[in-house]
Amino acid sequence: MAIGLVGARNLGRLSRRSGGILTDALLLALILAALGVLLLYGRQATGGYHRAADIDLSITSLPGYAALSLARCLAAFVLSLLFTLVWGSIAAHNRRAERIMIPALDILQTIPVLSFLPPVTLALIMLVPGSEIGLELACIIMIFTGQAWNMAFGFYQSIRSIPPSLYEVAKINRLGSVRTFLHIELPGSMIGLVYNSMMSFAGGWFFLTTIEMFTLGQRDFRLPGIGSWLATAQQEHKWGLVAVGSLALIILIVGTDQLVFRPLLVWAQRFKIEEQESSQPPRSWIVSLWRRSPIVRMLRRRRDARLAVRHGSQSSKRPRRAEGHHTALWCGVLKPVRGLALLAGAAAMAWGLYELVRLLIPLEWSSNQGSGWGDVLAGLGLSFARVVAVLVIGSIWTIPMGLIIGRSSRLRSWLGPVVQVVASYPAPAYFVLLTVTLGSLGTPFWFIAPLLMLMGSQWYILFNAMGGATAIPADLLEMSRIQQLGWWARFRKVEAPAMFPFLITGWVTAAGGAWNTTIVAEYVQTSVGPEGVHETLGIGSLIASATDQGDYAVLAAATLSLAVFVIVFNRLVWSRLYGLCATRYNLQS
Amino acid sequence: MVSAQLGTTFNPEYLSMSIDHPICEARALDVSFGSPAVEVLRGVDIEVRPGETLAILGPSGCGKSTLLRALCGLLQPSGGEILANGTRLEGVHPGVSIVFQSFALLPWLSVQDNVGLGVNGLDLTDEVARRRITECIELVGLDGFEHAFPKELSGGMKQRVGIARALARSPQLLCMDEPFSALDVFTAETLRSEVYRLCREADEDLDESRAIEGLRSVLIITHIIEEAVFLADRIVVMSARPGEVQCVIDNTVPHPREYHDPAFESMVRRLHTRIVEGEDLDEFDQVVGTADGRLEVLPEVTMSEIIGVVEVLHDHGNSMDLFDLDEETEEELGRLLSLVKAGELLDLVDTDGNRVSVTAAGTSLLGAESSDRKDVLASQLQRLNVMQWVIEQVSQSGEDGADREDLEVALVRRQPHGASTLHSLLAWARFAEVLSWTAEDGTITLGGAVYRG
Repeated sequence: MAIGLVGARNLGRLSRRSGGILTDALLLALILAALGVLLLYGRQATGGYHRAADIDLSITSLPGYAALSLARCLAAFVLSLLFTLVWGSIAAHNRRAERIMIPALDILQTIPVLSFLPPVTLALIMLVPGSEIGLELACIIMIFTGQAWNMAFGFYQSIRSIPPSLYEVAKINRLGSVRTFLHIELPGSMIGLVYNSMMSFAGGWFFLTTIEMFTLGQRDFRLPGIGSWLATAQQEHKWGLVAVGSLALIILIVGTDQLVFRPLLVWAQRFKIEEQESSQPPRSWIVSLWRRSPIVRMLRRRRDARLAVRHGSQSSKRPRRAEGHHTALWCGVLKPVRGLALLAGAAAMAWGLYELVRLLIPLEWSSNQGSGWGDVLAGLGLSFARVVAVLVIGSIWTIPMGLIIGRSSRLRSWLGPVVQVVASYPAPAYFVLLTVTLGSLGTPFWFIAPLLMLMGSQWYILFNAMGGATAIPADLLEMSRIQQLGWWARFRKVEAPAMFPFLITGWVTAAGGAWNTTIVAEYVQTSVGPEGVHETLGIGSLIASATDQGDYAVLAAATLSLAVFVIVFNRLVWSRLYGLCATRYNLQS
Repeated sequence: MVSAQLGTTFNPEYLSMSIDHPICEARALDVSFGSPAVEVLRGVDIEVRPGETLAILGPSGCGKSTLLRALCGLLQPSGGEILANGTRLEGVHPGVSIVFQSFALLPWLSVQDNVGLGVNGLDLTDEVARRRITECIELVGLDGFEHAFPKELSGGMKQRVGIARALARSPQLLCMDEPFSALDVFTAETLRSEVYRLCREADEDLDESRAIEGLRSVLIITHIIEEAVFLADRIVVMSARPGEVQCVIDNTVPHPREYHDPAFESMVRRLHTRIVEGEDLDEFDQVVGTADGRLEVLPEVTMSEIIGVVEVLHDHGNSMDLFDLDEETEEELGRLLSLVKAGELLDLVDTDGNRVSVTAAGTSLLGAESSDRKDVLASQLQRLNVMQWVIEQVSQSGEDGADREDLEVALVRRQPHGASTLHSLLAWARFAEVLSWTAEDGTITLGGAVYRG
């Protein structure tokens, strides 16, 4: 969920950041230029890949496929982690870089993952021809684009919120930049890092079915994995297998969450900066089990003893004197190099933009054999209407539901995990099933598409409504009982305003999710061949069908309009609402 | 506290340094932050001499902590220079360590490892370093807690870790940035007397036992007069906005020091008087009764606090000594002075030397019914030039009222503390219903109509 998760937190910051429109425009141009170059490559890549791996639909092959998918997610995660550490720490330390790098994350995450898919795939296949490695790499990079931005932003924010006195400790005690990173910054941002990793990893599953199996022009791309297994089973209408595959996917998702990320989150609590114990620390059954085990206890005691012996000085023997000299030298070399790099960058950007424009010029207002600008704008409008509808419908049921669940600790304790599992299950994995089922009941597809979007994004509102309901101060609720407010007055005067900041976060995240889901919700392929395609006009279906048909002009036009629209909307609407949250609806002041 | 023999290796960097030079010295130091620049320190000259305990005493916001960080080389001054042992300081001062107000312990390291950070980068063998860590932990009385984590410790124990970490560096100069103000009263008192003993031992060790090797001087930052008198050999009194050295006083109270010793009490009173006098000269005369239409600088206090001070004075026979008023209200002296100054600006109180008394307007304010109080305050507010100016600006901007940000920009152009002055003025004027303003769109209108309903 690229747009959603980061968007929510970025916007809080954006509302405080003034100006920046120029930076935004520049960065958007830069990223679009990159897209232009990639598309150029993609268009030229014609040969190379033919084989569509056959997906073996037997149950015995499922564990192997699941392992392959998991490995892809892990590889992408490692890549994201590296990206995060580098990008986040540079942005946190270099003022000038920060001004570019943080808005860049913001813009990158508004560009839907799937727009990257065709150019990245084709470019990589061309680079690594004759094997599936290029396709594998492409798939990993796709998952990466769904994970990395959120983590990088979270890491950057954690570093920025480390108390300055800790940095002063580092300076006074001459820790140097490497040890400052290892001893202060990395531990200090560990909770944020683990938490965002958990969210990102869960987000990585979302497009699995789409990424492991897709068509580009005439070519059919498949990678063995649980996503392609599920997609194939659905297209062949083998519902029994779909059920088995879904169960396996749930086990995979819940398994990684419970066995890996929960324990990590508990472990990370030791890195909490406020030195008080929190009232409700996260818990993990696996950690409790681990701690209770007598063998583990014994091992721990022995390790502690060993550590005690080994601990002593951590002194580095030689003070580094030559540092200043080196820096001066570097500056002398770096200055011209940096100038050249800037020039080269500008040239590359101009070239990329030129390619993009050249790609877009042939696109007419409306053309009879394909789509034109008119369709793109109409699609944008229609998709926007769907997104709004999703938010309204989603809010109508999730807000009261969230209030009920959030206010009762008993309900929360057993419904919470259920909601979590339902929400973490990637909605696109059952879109075909839903489309076929509803279609057989005679439901038109224009009605099904927003429903699919709703399935993909309503959970964010529900989660935040639950969180907001839990956070309503008890004395406000007691006051409303003393004043004998009716349920409507209580909702309007007390609950809704108190939940407002949470709801904004929920809406921003859900809107991001809904935009992203348009691509898989407005265009569903229920069986192999052109007669199995269900689509309704929208920005998502334009992107998806352009991908299918290899129509790069439309793909570029649609991506461009969507990115610009989402960015402008964020700046004009969401960040203002965030401002309102910080002033009027702030319960702290 | 035990005096312990710390490691034997001496940090070689100190050897070359002459005893005669001050360990740390600021010359004509200016520090400003942000743009437009806000002046935090102006023309500060101070020195920390070898073997002394120096206290920097001043109200909050006078730039004490900034001064400390500049002396340590943690921030770059915008003017003037810092000398360390007689040479111009580049980067972080090699012989200092800091005890922080907020402890600044790394929560993910044990007590031992936190203290271990203190010896990082020193040229010590593992053996010596380990011994020094153990000794410092013993010195602050934390033996047995080596493997505990900061969150398991109470505030006082955390600060002991902070002190041990600072001592482990065997610094020439131990800087303490309000080290006791995050602690409760009793813990602070205990720790204060332990630090007192530490300073005394450091003093004596120059001649004999070398109890805390290398440590020559202590620099302590505080806003509490008694703390400065208790610990320091010399006391630097600072005034605020911008931070300037008001005076430097030699503390002649003999050791061992006791709070109820007459010499101690008279020193406290003397400092008290100096601070009040300094404030008088600096600011009261400057702004009170400015006939030339200069816009006054208003302190950042609330109207209820000002009225509170008038009430207290009224309860004590309408007139009180500043020192007694300070005792009575238990306010920090700097803040109390701001309150008295605000009362004087509004002509609710009058000062004569150290004596504060209630004026006629003050008496009529206290006598008035609650609805009439606003009228009294309104007419007192109208006496301020800055109030007149704001009213004029607002009435010129028509029906919709004036924009707060525009007003602030205009006021900042006319006087250096425009932002904080406007902040106080708007709060006071809103209280007295002279103006009203809405926080969301930031418009200011005349009269109190908007928020009455």
